[in-house]
Amino acid sequence: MKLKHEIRRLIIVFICIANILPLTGCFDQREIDDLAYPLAMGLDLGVADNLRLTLQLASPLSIGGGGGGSSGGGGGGKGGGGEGPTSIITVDAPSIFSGLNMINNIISKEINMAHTKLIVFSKPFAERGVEIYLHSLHRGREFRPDIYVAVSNEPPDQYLKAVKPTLESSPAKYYELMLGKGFTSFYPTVRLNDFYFRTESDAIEPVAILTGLSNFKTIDDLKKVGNKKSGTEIKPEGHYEAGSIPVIADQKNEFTGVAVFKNGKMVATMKGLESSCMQLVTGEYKNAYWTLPDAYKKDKVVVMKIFQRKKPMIKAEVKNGKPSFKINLDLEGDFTAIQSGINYENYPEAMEKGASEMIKEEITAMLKRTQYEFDSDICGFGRYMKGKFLTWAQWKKYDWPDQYKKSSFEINVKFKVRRTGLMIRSIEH
Amino acid sequence: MPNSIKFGKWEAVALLINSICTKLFLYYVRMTAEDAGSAGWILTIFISLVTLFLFTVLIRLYKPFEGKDILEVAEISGGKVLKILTGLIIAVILFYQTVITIREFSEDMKVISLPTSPLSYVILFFIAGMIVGSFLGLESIVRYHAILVPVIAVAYILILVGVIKIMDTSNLFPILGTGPSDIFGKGFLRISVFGELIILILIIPYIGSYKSAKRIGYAAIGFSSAFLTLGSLAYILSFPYPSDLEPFLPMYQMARLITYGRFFQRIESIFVFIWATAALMYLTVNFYFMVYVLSRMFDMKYLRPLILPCALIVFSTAFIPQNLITVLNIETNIFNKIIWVITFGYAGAVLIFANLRERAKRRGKKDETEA
Repeated sequence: MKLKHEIRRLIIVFICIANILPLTGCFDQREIDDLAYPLAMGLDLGVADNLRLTLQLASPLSIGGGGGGSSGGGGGGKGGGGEGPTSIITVDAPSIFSGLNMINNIISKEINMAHTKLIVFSKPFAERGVEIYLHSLHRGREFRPDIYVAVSNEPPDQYLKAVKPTLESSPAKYYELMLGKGFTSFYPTVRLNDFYFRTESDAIEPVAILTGLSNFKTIDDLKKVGNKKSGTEIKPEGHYEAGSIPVIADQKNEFTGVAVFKNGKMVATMKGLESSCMQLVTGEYKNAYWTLPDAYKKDKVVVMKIFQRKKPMIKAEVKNGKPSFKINLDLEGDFTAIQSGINYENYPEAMEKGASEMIKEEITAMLKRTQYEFDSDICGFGRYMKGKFLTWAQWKKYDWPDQYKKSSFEINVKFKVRRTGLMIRSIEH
Repeated sequence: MPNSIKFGKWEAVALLINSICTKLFLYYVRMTAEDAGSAGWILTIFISLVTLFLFTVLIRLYKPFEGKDILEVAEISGGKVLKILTGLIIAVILFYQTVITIREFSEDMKVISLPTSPLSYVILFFIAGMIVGSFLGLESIVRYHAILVPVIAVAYILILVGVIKIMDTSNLFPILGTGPSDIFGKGFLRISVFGELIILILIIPYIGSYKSAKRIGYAAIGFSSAFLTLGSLAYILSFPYPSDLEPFLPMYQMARLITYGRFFQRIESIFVFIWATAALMYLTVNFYFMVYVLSRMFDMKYLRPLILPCALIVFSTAFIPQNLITVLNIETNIFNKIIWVITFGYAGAVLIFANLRERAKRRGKKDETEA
């Protein structure tokens, strides 16, 4: 009896093992070494066909320090020979997946998009409209919803070729660190799922990160900026867009500003400071340094690290048939530099007032641009207005995209200085 | 046969929770958005309350038949003919449900993880699980549920917690979604979501007293309603309307949105495991009860000889629907609108007749003794 039981048990164990074995070699087994992983994908207007697809393929051995290893590509990275951490390949195709299909005929490994971190649209491509390609990105199971979305000044094939991270061996890590960070607000964090949802929504319009290659190659080129004509003129760092930042670096690409979309088409770009203002209104802002004019000495600046203490409180109303919004922002700042040496630490009121007024002015200007220049609700005020309606039929009838430009805004900025760094007072010279 | 095994309240509740809530992993939350837009969660609360009311009526009608399953009650009500008819209806429903669900799960599995594997290969694994489960019997099935349902529930709640970061309360507005008539009118048909309660009236002989059955029913409806409402709410908060009408596997796509830093990403792979476990358990239960009802219908002593032939029929029938969309349409537009007629309507009618019969019998006896 006991023996019979043991034999039965053995048979069960055998059946289990026999079931496991075929799974290791089933139809869908794929060796990681047999796959090619694009880290970034560029989309541009094609010449030979509708779409120009560029892939920045990872060369894992080079990233890992092994050298070599990539199989193909049309040149790029440190050359198409596969010596650098990436290899660039560009193809003109009717659609994204048709392009991938064509590339699979050129390189030895199967393309797998599961590790793609960035999608870059060229400006002309974004202006023509991205909606028809977005659906395939959303449908494809390999495309992750957390891929970053950017618009580049240059064609993506040139742009991606120039992306050579200097501090990371892996471009994937570079994109993740660069685009997901919370300590700068000059460009928003835009992921594919959010971009897609906004494209389909009538309560908010999408935006993308603005990127480009630096216009400056040598120190002498910086003269072209020609900003500082006199000793009193100060151009805050947020007044730049990607490509125009007066910087000389080994890293040629830069991210600053916002690409604004309406109905799936890019309609304008905004500068770094406008990006900060937009994020303050949407509540996506985390923290950043702000350069503010000194309240008493206009040729000097005060630098503060500004935090958003609470998510913005936005109340929507319909006043005289027009949409009206009351925006309450609660911010706090830490002094990091007081050039004038005025003892603002103990008497911060003037700077608090100056900062809140400046922020209010900048936000008002940004909102006016979105209303009258782009007519695109990128801050998502429609999301608050929706709450005023009971059903979708009523909301649709209201036609929010048409109402946005009629909106009025009342902005209240509460700003308090909290900390003063490692100094408790400044001594005026 | 039924009285040879007894199992506890938790086992029965776990069995019913998994049977009712497995649709959460497949289509349920999208279906509520299709029905009521941003008010899908209100629809879920509404159908839960209606189900609670109907169950209260149903279980009250069951009171005179303590320890008897619906087939025995049908026999009391209309003799052998009604017993066979009731069994046939239930078996057909369970068969239909098994076939549609196995095809749906297998297609989903193909889309997510096994794109190049043949469909038959994927279905075969589910069929193997169903066969093994059915051979091991009801006791093993319910014990398995008692252990794994809490694990699945915790994993499910973790997914909901994981997407909190991307939730947006403005997605809940307009608060009445596509309108009150969709929520409370058309939405009424969605009480079919609780159609799996039919299993409760099959396992009554195994759970003992009437009081236990009542408690199990309420607990199962309570837990299931909570899971369905939370799922629906989390989905609507994470996916804005009308984008929430598009996802093919809403819960899976929700899990894909979870990212915490550079380390905690791609947790949907855990979801696939949880989801496959729930699916296997669900299919096994449906299949087992289908075979069980067939054997009880014809007063067969053993059900095991029916397992392999029935599995073969399920396997073959699963290939009949032309494609995934057909399966989804059958499931959401037909099955989930009419099954309540059987669970609450037909079962209620059988119980009413049986009550009347019993009362007439008692009156007849009383008259006899008085005479």
